[in-house]
Amino acid sequence: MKFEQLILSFVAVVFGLFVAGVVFFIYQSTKTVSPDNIKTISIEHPSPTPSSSVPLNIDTPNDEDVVSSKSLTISGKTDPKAVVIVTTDTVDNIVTPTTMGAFSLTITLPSSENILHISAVMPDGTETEKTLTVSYTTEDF
Amino acid sequence: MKRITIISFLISITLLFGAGTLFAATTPTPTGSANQLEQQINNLKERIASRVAQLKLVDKRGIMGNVTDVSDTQITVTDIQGDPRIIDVDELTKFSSPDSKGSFGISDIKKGETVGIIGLYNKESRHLLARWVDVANNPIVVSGAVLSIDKDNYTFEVAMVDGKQWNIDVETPTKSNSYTKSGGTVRSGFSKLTEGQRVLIVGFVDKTDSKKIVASRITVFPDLPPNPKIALVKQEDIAPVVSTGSGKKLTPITK
Repeated sequence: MKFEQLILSFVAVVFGLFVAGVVFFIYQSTKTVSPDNIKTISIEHPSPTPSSSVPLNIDTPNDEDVVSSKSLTISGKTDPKAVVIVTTDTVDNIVTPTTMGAFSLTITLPSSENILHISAVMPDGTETEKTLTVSYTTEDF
Repeated sequence: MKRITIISFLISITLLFGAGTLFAATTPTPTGSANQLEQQINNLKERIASRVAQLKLVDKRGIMGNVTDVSDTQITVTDIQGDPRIIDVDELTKFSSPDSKGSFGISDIKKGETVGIIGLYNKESRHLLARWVDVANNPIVVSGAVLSIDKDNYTFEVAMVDGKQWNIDVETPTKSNSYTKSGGTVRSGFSKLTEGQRVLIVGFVDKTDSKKIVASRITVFPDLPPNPKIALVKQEDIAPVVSTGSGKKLTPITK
């Protein structure tokens, strides 16, 4: 009697699981996703940057920046062996970077619209030059 | 036997009910109020995103460039990076020129002039709405190597990386400096200039000679050699390319 009970219980459990599985399968196969919920992920391949003989990265300022102070700090990174030359309309500033290649100098902007020529020159004469426009105004707009 | 059948039936019902509950937990069906709340959240998200985009769309910028075209409401310039830029002008835009004594407006701006513009840059339209337009008279910066020196006329020639050569006119107000790593920047003079030296010149192009720069200041770098890409050959020494007649061109060997 007990053996029969066990068998029947087992059969009932299997049957129940089977029915539940069938119902789950039917639900999944009929499920539709609305187009609003579909997200497209595209991976952009970064374009290779042209290699330059002397590295020169300017952290501050950015090209076309508008500043409200005539005192401007120029900072960046280059080769530790390089000499950094910053030329404005009125003055040349020459600095040597730290052993890590970092450099920083403060200049006074000579006019409201200024072109900064920043060069990093290596002992063998190879160089990289970057030109930035920095404007100065105290007016709010 | 009847009891067993009842027990089996109950187990099956329990399992089916359990599966149903599992469904309900994994795939919740949005009710009417939940749907409404979700819609409200989405609307709010869209409004916030739109405002953020609006705030980020415009920023203050200043550019310099040569005027290539002027109309009543727009100026087209080529900026210092060589890119064409469109400048919008409205009734709030102010114009100025160092040479102007009276009123100065957009109609006074001519092609070929260098202008500095400060305004609001629209990242979507890529136009700069000008607030100030100033005609600029900035000096040019030339970095190169001394090619030849004319000590009698106080002039020297400079060769640049791009192959361009300039005649540099040294005048009484011209400031001459020399930079070394050990000594820093010290005053120097025209007499200390030597051929093949790295030199940096800041000056203005002569109005009568487009190949001549009247130097405001000169800095020489005795420690640093000139850029190896600079060809230290005078333009008049470069013989013209000769054709053999068979299509091959003979060019003289230069160092």
